[in-house]
Amino acid sequence: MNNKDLFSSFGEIDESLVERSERAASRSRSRRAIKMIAAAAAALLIIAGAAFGIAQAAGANYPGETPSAPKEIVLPPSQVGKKGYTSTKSRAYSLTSALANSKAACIITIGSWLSEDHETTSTYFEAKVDEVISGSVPEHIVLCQFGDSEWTLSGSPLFTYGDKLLVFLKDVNWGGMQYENCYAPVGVDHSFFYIAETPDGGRYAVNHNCTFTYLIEQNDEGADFEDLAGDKAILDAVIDAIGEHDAAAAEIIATNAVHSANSYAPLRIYRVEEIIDYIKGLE
Amino acid sequence: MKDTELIELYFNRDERAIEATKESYGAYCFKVAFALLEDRLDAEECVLDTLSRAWNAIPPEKPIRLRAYLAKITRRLALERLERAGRQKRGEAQTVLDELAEVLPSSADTAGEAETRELGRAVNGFIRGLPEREANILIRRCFYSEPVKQIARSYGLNEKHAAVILGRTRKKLRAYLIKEGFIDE
Repeated sequence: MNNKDLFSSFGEIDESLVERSERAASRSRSRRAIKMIAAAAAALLIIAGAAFGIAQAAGANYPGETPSAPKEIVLPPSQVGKKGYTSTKSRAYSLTSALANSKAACIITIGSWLSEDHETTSTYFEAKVDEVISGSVPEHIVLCQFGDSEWTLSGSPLFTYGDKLLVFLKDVNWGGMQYENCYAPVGVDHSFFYIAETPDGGRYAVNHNCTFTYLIEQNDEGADFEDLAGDKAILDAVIDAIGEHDAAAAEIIATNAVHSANSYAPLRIYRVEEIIDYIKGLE
Repeated sequence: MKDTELIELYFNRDERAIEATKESYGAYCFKVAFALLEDRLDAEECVLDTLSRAWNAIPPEKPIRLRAYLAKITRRLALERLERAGRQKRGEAQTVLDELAEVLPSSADTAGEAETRELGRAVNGFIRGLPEREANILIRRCFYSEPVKQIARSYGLNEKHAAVILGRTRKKLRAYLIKEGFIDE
């Protein structure tokens, strides 16, 4: 008899006990929700008066910028891989736990593909940090993604040139290629947002496989972001904006949007600013 | 729809029972499954399996607390799914498992089904003897695999306090299982 048996045996406990534990938790949550609403209202007043200063240092040859000396764009050899997706799973995070496990939260733009290492199944990209939300990180980094041109993690293509992401970065500690300022996303394929900048000036965040947004809703207290996925014009604009440079990611987002009605973890689209405010509030 | 009306649909073999159960408890079962599987598609399939299992079990079974009854089925199916796929429990479930190794070591032989059921009865008796708050916290942790931080929030405690309560309760559980003859001293 071991710890696994003990874990299983908790499934045998009386239904009355299971129900009682839920009732007690929900009573306590209701009391706290009232306090949270009052605090959120106060915070909103402060935030409304604040202006954002976005550091836009002159970098070379990143999407959306005018390069002074253009260099060749390098795309990954394959975004999905000949062997297709694997069923390997990674740990999933909410905003709070992702921040707790990261060195920095920031918005980055993926640049050229640098290399891949089949031994550690890693792909490396140039990336420019557009905005640091929390922590500290250099302006130009190398992003290491788990997966390579042979296979990728379930549901997620490799990044590609022009992808704008809201990511939580951690050090790379599994060997592979040696690059200076090399970081990997916390939560591998789960815990980041694609950022879509739409022609009307909107900036939206979408988690392609819906796991991140589901866990945010479940676990991040006060993260009551307005979901805009139901607005067809916004949904289409987001898919178009991402699809302009990353057809694979756009396809997954579009597919999950169609299946949302039958899913317990439907596709969500949030305003980037709301997420940034929330992350800053966690510090 | 009230639980009694739902159960009536099952007893009349009315297939609307499945859709109505999905509507009332689907999202809840998904949450239970997701905590163990940490995968959206696996968890969604697990909910469908739960509905099918409930359809086959009711009648003859007539659950008084349908919500908890479904949660137990979902949890069992999610654990079976993990075992079948030969996957390691991940995330919070693995942490809970590591904590339970303080009570029963991971190196020991696996118990048979009858022994596990017997152990379940003992755990049930142990929980019934605990003060309500300790019992609830243990269930949130070991049944739902809820993170300590979230449990603490739910019960208005700080994280450290909740972790201390859980640690003490595990020690009590070990002593109880020794007394009941499940573990050699």
